[in-house]
Amino acid sequence: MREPRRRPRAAAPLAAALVVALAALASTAPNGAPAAAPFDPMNARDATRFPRAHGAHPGAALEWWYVTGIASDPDGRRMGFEVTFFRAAVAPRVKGASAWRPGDLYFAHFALTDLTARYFRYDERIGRESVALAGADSTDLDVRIRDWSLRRESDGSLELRAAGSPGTLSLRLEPARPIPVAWGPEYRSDKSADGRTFSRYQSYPRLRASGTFAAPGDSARPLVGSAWFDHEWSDGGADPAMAGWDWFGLRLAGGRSVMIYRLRDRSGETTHLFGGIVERDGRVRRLLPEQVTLTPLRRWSSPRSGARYPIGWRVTLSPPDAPEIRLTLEAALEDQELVTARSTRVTYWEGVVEGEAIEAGAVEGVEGYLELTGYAGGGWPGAGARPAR
Amino acid sequence: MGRRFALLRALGLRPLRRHAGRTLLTLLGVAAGVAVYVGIDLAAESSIRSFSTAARAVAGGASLRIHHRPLALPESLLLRLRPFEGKADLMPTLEALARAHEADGPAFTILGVDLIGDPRVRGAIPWAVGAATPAGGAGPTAGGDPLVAVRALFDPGTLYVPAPLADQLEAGRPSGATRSDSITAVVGTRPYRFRIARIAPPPGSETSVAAPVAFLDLAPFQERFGRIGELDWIDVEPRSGVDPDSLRREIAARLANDVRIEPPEERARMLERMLGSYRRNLRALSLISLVVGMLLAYNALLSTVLQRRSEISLLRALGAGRALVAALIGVEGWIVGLLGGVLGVLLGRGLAEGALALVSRTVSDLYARSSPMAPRLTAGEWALGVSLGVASAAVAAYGPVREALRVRPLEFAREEHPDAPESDAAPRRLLVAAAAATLALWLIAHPRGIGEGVRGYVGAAAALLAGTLAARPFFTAVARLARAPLRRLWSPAGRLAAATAIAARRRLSVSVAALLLSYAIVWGMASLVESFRVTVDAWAGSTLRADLWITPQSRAGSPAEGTMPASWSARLAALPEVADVDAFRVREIAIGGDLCFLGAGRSDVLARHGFLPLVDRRDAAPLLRRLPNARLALVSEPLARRRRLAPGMRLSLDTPTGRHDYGILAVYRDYSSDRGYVILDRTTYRADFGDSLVSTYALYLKPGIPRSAGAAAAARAVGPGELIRVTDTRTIREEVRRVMRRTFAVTDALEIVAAAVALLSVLGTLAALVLTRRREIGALRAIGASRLQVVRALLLEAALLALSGLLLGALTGCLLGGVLVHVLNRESFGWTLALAMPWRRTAILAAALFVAALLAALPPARRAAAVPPREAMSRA
Repeated sequence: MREPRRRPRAAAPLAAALVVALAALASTAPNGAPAAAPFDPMNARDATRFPRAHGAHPGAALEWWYVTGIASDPDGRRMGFEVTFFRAAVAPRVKGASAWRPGDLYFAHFALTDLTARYFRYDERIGRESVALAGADSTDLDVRIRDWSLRRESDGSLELRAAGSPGTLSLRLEPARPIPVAWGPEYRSDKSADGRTFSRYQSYPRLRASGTFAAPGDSARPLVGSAWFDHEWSDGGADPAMAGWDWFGLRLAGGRSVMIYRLRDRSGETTHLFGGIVERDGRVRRLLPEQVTLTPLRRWSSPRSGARYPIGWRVTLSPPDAPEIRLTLEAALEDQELVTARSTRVTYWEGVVEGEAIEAGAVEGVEGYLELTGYAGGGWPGAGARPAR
Repeated sequence: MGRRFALLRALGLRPLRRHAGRTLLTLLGVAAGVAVYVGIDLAAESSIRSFSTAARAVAGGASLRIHHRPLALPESLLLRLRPFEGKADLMPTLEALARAHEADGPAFTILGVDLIGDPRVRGAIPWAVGAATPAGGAGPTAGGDPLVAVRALFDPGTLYVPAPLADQLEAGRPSGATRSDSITAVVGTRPYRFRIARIAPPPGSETSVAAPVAFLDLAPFQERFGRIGELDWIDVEPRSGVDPDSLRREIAARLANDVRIEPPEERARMLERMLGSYRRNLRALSLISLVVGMLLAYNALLSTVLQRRSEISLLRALGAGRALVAALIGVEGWIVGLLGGVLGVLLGRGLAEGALALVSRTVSDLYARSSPMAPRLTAGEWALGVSLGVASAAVAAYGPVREALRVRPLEFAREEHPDAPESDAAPRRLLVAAAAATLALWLIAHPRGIGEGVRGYVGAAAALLAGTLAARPFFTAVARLARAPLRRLWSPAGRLAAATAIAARRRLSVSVAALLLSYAIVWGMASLVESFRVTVDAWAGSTLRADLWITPQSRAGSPAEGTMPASWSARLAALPEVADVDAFRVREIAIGGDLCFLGAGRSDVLARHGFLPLVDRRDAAPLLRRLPNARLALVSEPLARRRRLAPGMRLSLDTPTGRHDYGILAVYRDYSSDRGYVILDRTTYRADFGDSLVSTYALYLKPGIPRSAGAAAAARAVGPGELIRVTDTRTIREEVRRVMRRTFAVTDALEIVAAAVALLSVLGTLAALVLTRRREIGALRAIGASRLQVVRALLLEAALLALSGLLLGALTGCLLGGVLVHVLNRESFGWTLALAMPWRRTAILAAALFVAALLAALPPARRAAAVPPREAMSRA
């Protein structure tokens, strides 16, 4: 699923920004430090050995861990949540330097869409890899910025915690299978049509989510639902023509999951598309660009950024040797835009979408997350993003 | 109702206008008292506020602070705090006291914080530029590359400076400076060049004015200032819903006894408590000025009553009740009080500006860095000032109103002399006066420790009461004694003078009291200042014996600011010019809630060359020789008084090697700080505290070596890159004296005010005295007295009055001086002073007052004598 060329997701704007920044930084590392050792952080071994692959990949310029999901409490109150951790390398570590001189910076976003009360709130964090306060383990999944954290427990479940203006979220996420889904061989995900840049991309598209959520000033209420987890890292490098991307992470009621990642250029044309369908049995069917048709149905203009986001979609999937699947998707709430001036400095839309899928006359419900980047401000996502508050 | 008001206006207000001069005098009296009180109080308040703000600024509103003052924390401590990250914001912080290099530039603090994540700088640091754009606006922001913006925050050459401090730093730069956006900050003895990045003042508004703070990220801070691996403190702000107390307990349990966890303002609170005594001292002194003002008002009001006796008695005869009479006099007092209060507050505000510089220098000298903040005239201050005005007018009016009520309805019709029936109740007065004087003496003989507070007030009040009560008997006695010589020397004027003085003793003694009180206050304050000067001079002369003193250039206030490496010791000792080197370390420590200094020096050097005056007058040298390698300590007198410490007792101190007990060997006299010192030997200190840094080097030069040569050699030995200050002993002694002078500058100012009020009261009473006795003068003239005789008699009377006032004032002043020196000062600062009398100053003032009294009496006397007798007698 998600995985077109460049960095997908919210990470993408950031990624793009970071990538360029990184190039500059690497060449002018503070204190004239020597460049990092000739170790390839993108090696396949560190992507395929678990649990090591879950951990951070120091040396890789960019990395993120991404959780989106939809859950409801016993009263039937439904909510969508997004919690993302980004790691960005700033400079190589220098011997004798302060432990506070960051090799890596960490950013995090936490957004909540209350589908019952119909509101959207988000918060953000920034931190540096240092003595404490922020960091990630490189042997297993354990990433944190102050009290926001995502950690893999010994039983293979993920523990997610975030607290901020949306409220306090504490979830246990259980994957259906221990090993994450690979959208390409050795988790490789090309980020351009020519394959010159790529990332390693791993997903748990369907996690059983259980835990609690406490709205601000409210007591914690139990929550049950399902979630999507992505982990992706790359060594930077971006297609200068890229203007942004659209990402779909969808769960069909029948048990299948769909990921589509599309990169756009400035004129809005698709420069690269990548996707896949995860069958009920866990098998992944890859989707080629010509097997996916994306048609925007409706746009929403943000009063803050002025960006016009396509928040209603018709998606047609035509896998070979299988019936066509037609999906109709609509944002559960129009305003699910994040202006992340205090962390990644990227303005993007990421929110709950709902709809139905029709396959050979049979209809099933669909829910999931849609990410739209590069719509706020000119240029490619990241550098051009103008957080306008 | 309306008619009654008309009457009030006619009888109450008209006289105000008619005797505009006297009314003005009363008004000035009240206003002066209020102004001094309000002015001093405002100045003290704003300087203490600025200090408090400074001390609290760094707290940023956090609820708890984890620290190990005076030691640093290992940054790894944060790892042990990780379990609390969900419950609280943890804010690691480093601190450096800096001073702009440019010619005694402003002192400020550089804080090392996590510039990208610390909530305390959120909204102030460029990283959040986007966030600073007003909500709802769609204006473009810095946008762009997040990492480039973040990277700038870790730049070791950029100091983030809130705009007010940036302005201050720029203003202090020499005009020739080329790069306007960079400064050199001196930390310790080293210069650090920084580019200034202006930021908005962090939330907490005021702080940046009072507490100049600049920010550096933790990483560049540790790297540039050589603090790798260290933190000074960690502020902890519990998240909403987390109880700070239980969080504190949990953290304490996790960190065991390694560190202290307390509200960040704890240090400020401790200092504030100590500043409290200073403020109390100032208040006591300024309250005295209120008393002087009150006397002036009393005097003027009483004159009014006496002059209007016939008017009052006519009113009473016409049926006016006592209440109306009281109201008539009262209204004058009330209006004067109200106007005087308002005027006083306004004058006080102006006075505060002047006093502020004096007061905040002292706060900086003695307690902590603070830069003055503009005095803030609050509603409370207005209320206080006006009510003080009204209250002092009310107190001042009490006597006159009683006097007015005593006027009998038909008095005017009789040929009763207004001053005729005078009962003295002299024995009773003398008894009470003696009792008050005894109380004051008893207090002087039984001084208590610091912080008792009220005893100083009581003692001062008792001394002044004794003088006031003794005024009439004393004046009467003086007049009686003077009768014979006066008669002999200037008969008949002399006889007349003595007779009328005795006859009018009741009224005249009020003037005597006013004069004596003003004079006594000047005397008392001057003797406090003089005692200080004499004592500190002697102390500085005998104790500060090293030839040269080396301190870091960045030091702006506290002796604990800035350090130098221990390695200089050997280099300095090796100089051929140098006989001995003492390396002295000063740190701030808390002892039982008091923030004092821990000093560690080489006691062998001190024993060889120095002199340490002990309170019990023992020889310090043998004791000093016992200090090395032993857990023994000396404590300074203010600390001993505050903590009630004595030789033989043990003092517990927290050290990095655990809590140790130190035996107190002796208490020594020290006037350099009222916060107090604990002195250890350097060997003991290094072993227990694991710290070898040096705050001050004291050099003893070989005989015959000029100080300038020694200073040059020392500077060479230290190296040209080190920004140090080499001071010779004479300069140090001067500095000590300067600090003391500054400490008492306010007292000096009050003294001048008191002297001015004394002069005013002499002028006022004598002018009134003559005016109220026109009829009497007319009678004298009618029976043949010449104008010259009349004038001479009046002048002699004035001389008698002034003489008694000054004599009794001197006695009262001695008593007051004793109270100020031995009780109030001791309670405020803990210093023992030798009582010294300000003979010269008081003698000059006495002469001036005496001459002023005569000069004041002369014009009205001549005018009165010039009025034709018939006219004078008919115009009662």
